[in-house]
Amino acid sequence: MARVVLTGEARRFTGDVDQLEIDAKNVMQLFRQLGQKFPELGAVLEDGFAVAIDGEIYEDSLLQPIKPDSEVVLIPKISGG
Amino acid sequence: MPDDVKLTREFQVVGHRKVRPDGVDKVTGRAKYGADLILPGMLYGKVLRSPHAHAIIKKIDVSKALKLPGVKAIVTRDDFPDQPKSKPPYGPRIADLWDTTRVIMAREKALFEGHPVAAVAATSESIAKQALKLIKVDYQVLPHVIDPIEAMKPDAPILHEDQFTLGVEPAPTKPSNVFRVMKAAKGDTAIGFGEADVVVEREFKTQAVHQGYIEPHACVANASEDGSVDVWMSTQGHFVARNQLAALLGMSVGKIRFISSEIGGGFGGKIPMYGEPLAVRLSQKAHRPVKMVMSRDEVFRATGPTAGATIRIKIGARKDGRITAAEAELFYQAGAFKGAEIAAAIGCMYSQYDLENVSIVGYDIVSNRPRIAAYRAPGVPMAAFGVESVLNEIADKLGIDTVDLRLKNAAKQGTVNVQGLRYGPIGFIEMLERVKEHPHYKAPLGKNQGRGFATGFWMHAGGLSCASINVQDDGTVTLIEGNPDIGGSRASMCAMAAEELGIPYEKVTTLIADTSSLGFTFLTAGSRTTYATGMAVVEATRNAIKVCCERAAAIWGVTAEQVKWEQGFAKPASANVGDFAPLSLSELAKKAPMMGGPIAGHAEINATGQGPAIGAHLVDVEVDPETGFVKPLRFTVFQDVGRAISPDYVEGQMQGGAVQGIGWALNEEYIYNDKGQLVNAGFLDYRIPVASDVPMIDTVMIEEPNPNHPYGVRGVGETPIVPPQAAVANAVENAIGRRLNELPLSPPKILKALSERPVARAAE
Repeated sequence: MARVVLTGEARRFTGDVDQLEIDAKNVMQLFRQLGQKFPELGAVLEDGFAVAIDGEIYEDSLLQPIKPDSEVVLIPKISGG
Repeated sequence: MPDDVKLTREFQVVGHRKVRPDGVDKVTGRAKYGADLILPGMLYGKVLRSPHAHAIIKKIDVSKALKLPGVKAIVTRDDFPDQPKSKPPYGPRIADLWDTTRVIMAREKALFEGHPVAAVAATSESIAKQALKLIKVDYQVLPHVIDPIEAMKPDAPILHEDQFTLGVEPAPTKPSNVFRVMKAAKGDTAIGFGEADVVVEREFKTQAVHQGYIEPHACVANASEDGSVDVWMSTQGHFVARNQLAALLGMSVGKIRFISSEIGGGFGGKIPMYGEPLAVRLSQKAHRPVKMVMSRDEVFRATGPTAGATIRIKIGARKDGRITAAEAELFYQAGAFKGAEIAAAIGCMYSQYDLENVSIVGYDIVSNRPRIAAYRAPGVPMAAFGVESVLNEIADKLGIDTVDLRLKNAAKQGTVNVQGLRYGPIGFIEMLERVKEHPHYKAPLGKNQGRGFATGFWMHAGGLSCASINVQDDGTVTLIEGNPDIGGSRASMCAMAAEELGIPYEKVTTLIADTSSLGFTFLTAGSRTTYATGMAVVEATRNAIKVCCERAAAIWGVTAEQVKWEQGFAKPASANVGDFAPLSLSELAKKAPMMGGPIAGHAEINATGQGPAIGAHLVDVEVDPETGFVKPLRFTVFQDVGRAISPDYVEGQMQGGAVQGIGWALNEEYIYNDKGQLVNAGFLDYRIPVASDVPMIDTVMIEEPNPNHPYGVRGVGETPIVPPQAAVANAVENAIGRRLNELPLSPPKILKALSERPVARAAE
């Protein structure tokens, strides 16, 4: 089970839940399961969030694999000028 | 991407200084910028803008203007379909077409002075301007508010009656100019402040500043009766613009083709569209091409600056310099529509430090000003100004060297920031040590001179990029990519392709494709182009090399796996393969038409693994005590650039950020009159630095290759704008012994500060 860390903007949609374990093989499965647990978060995940899997950032990468012992952090998508 | 990361070997092209391929045309005036295109039968478009900062638009009468000879079309709000208003929940990033369609053309209300109200296409620019004067707009002027702190007050004029602040409990029952409150926290700051020996709490203020690109916004639209449209545009992202135009006008993406012109600066400000949808609608109505070019005045009044901000910083530290807690409140001006860059500020402002207890709250505030646009590391420099200023003060109070204070708290591999992101190697400690070793750090200062230091953090973007490479019959190479070249990216693309192929740099030409000729490529922004599109170029080139090896194998009668590519030649992979003379790229290219067709390679990727970047700025200034004038004397920029593919252009990015930061710190601000009208909408009165205002900006490129890129690239374009405001302010404080917490540090403010008592320092 991957450990999912929820901070800042993601935490806004999850109440007191700041981390949880999810059995997901890739980012798409992760987003789907998070959306089932937290529907408001699910509505903004694809457009609003990137994931850091074991410290590596992946944006718009629904097929990115997640290992069972990975740490996954939701972070706001990165913009720039 | 790479399992064969090339991080250590010597390169023939990459990392060498070279002439940029677009250079000759740019210095001779041959390069075509946004305003340079002329089409047969072309009309000239001009925009009527609201003179009021806040007003209901009761009626627009264009009848007299339409009768003016030479006027071919006029558009108003009625020519643009309204968009559904977005509803919560909102993610960190706001993309609300309801807002965007009102940015390009006011609908119910004009929300800032300069807000477009109508646009005219005529056979000459002067006729178009005459026509604007004949359009009658019936306004009901409303009270306005410019300053974001004023806009938060309960009795402030409300811009959007249906905007209720999000992110607060209980949910408000009255509309507000605060769109939302964002928060992030780690640990417990109350405990942290309880452990502190010194706590510094200060409020800072920065002004809205414009990106200051030299080329104004410009476009030409040419609509066909078959429903298609071509748009030439000066932009940082024509693929993004195409998709947005399709959504705004209800058009099919496949019917729209955007061609990016050369671009005379953007810095984030040429991500949004302004005149393009108007030009398209005018062209559709007039059945002729329409050019629209903004004046400098229009650029200032109607295009996005970055946010002005009020920032409250509170940091506590122990006597040994270790920070125990850090808090921040960020009040950011979004302009007339929501979307201040708070999330980036929260994610970056403390992120070069290893802190246990952090709490940040940010407010996204609308007021009667143009909607903000991105500006290099959007949202972060203002917050960094506060943080790095307070750290300077803490170092003073504790009698600790300012770099040592940062060393004591520097993030390192394994540090987790306020967003929960755990770092790989980030090299901040090594950079700080390089600063201390640099001659600038210990150089003596003269009378009325001071030295300032600050650091800055930015998180780079990756994203979608495509590239195609075509080997021509004579072995020259044409590379096609999709990012407008702002800072010399074509040179880097040519270099990476040439390095892969083992051919001279001059044999590769890079073209920027239009939106119908290549797959979607994301913006030239976020410091992503050399990283992400560079990855695509390398992958496309490797795919072309694979074809070369297959052709050589066919010629030699061996398998492709028995052929290797080395320094521009196909060679047997080992002595066992056979004794074959190497085949050059040009030899293979010559045979290509008879061996299955031209040699080409393509790549369509989503680049990841970009990671953060940190910079440090060291600056000396001299303050004239009689006039309050601040003269920067010496400036050194330190940055981990991963690997500099084109060192000249990497240094240019570092120098440019420092210069823009000097202007932000010392000169630049928007000045409004009591009617909410901008009174300094030109470069004479809005003073950006020119060459004579700044010293040579020295650069120290630290090259710790990024293992996630085939050549070790990190982005470089944005980090250099983060530290300079605080570095300059710290230098001024060091020179005059007084702290100024409000930018710009203009002469009147310096003189006022000099009339007050100096601050006490631990060292004194």
